[in-house]
Amino acid sequence: MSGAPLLEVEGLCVDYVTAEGPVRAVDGVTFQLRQGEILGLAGESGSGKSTLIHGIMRTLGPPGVITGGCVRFGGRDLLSMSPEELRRVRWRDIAMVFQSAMNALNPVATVYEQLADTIRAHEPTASARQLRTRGERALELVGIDPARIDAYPHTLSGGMRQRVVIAIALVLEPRVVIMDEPTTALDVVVEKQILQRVLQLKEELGFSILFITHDLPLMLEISDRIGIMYAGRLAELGPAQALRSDAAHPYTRGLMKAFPSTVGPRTVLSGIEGAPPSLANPPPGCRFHPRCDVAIDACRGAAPPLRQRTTGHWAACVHDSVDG
Amino acid sequence: MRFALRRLGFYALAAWAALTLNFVLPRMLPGDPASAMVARFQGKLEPEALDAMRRAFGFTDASLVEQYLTYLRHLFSGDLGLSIAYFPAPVSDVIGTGLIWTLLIAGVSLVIAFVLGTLLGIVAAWRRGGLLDSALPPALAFLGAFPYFWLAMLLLYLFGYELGWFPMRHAHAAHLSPTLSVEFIGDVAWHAILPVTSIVLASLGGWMLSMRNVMVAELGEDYIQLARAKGLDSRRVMLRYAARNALLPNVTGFGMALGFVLGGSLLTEIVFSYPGQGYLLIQAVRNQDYALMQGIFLMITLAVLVANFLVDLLVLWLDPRTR
Ligand SMILES: Nc1ncnc2c1ncn2[C@@H]1O[C@H](COP(=O)(O)OP(=O)(O)OP(=O)(O)O)[C@@H](O)[C@H]1O
Ligand SMILES: [Mg+2]
Repeated sequence: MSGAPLLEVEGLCVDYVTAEGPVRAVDGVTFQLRQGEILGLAGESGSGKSTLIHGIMRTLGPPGVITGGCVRFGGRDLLSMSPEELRRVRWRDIAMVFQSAMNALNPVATVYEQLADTIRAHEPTASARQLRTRGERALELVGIDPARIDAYPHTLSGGMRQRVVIAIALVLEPRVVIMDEPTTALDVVVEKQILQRVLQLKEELGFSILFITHDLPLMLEISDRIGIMYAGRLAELGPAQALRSDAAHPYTRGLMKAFPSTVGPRTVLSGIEGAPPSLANPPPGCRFHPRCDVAIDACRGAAPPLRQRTTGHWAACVHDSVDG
Repeated sequence: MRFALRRLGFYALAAWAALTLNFVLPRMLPGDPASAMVARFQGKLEPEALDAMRRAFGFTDASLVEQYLTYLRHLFSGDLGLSIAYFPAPVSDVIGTGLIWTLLIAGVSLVIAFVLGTLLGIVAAWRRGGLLDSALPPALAFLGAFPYFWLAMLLLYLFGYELGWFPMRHAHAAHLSPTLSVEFIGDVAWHAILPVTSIVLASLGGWMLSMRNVMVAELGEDYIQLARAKGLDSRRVMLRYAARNALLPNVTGFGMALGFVLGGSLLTEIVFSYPGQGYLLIQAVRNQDYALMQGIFLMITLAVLVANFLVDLLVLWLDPRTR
């Protein structure tokens, strides 16, 4: 199912420059997205997921700046590309569905215009007829009646708008699609519909997906591998199955317990005590230690690096086993 | 379409309110202006002029309702009474020529200021913090802080009197009669340069700043981020995405600014002895020509309403959400 690394992120750091000084929102994140896989990214709100993918895509607006690391696609470093090189790679090879997909459409341009200018930006010679057929096909892919192609965004429902944004991401048939909570603000039925559509398309077109959602059960269900972020760092990374049954980081275990399991015996639901730390002034050592019930002195010293537990299963915790 | 009709209804109502106010106001003054003027011009005015004046005001012995109906009937047949200042010319004729000059000056300067200010605002927002963005807004705000007529007097003094580059008064040279000849149109443009420049200078900063601010906010929107990410060239992101959306509140502001600009251009006309409504207004006030004054106010109000309706149609065309 998963092949060679397609997108490699290495030691990526992103800071927000605020009046009180720089705040490191993404701190040395390293992972690879493989050919044809679905990699899920989870973590509490504010853990830096969106910042991470905006760093990867180089779509950070001020005050965000990339302060270290590299991002390679097919061996080429995205971070050192000229704007024009980047313009060509982006969307052609890596496309993205923004977290706020509902507001990602230009209110005064039709769906057709917004699909067509995407194609035209990368294939200036495309004829008007081609633009229309490809636009219509992209809409069909996400389950929207192609007859709606000349509609303005405000005449579409929220779910349709999100699907249009997904269609815009897929219209060039990229090799990597990054989706940042593409289905938030949608009801469960529509959410399932859209995701099923995307998974089906993934099988047909063979792209890889980097997928962010707060819906952990859903993520466990569809992802091949999962990364867990905590306070700007990757806490754990491994096969979905391993994280479900064998989470190595106390934070991951806390997250798993916060959701009811759809299979297996009923367990008592519990959240994680406390709140995520301030990124401006993070605790020393492991950033999770103030909330961790198995924290020891070593956790307050140096930040634990990601260590491999079983093949392909990494966790940044000093403990070797679940019980400390 | 429904929107357009609703707006049309609204403007019809506003126009009616203006007409009615125009009728009610003189009747709320202590005494009636007509009698006051009869006393004032005792023996100096031909009886027919006095008669015309009374009729113009509709001050008869009839009931208020009848007076009102007479007033409306006269109005709709274009009869605004006779002017005192330009006796015996009917007010409608006097206003007619003045209106063309006012619309020319105010219209041309409004369009120039709006287009130029909007373009400057777009560039300033796009190159935020750049030279244009840091230098121009304070300079223009400084200019905009002066009253219209003060800038007009300054230009008149510098370029008309001291340097003698431009004519100092009137809409065209006295020896030319209004024709559609190149010579006449050139002369009108020549005379319009100073008044138009003074209004443009006074109002440019407002347009630029408001466009810049809306556009800066628009540039932070998610659809701009998507437009950039999907590889559109900057010109398209700037114009078709950001500016096109930022334009909408500015166009709405355009309609509201019309009244101010017209008011400002009245003062400018006075400075340049330009034969528009402002100049007429002075004549009317000097001669206590109530009929002319009322006619001018009415015309200005109606012009603003019509222009606002046109702006609404423009918004309708620009913003699909209003359709
Ligand atoms: N423009 C900004 N200026 C300063 N700090 C910011 C800015 N944008 C985000 N941050 C901070 O960066 C951190 C990470 O934010 P980010 O949006 O990446 O979180 P997230 O994991 O995507 O959260 P969510 O699940 O709610 O979308 C947060 O602490 C946030 O406060
Ligand atoms: Mg986010």
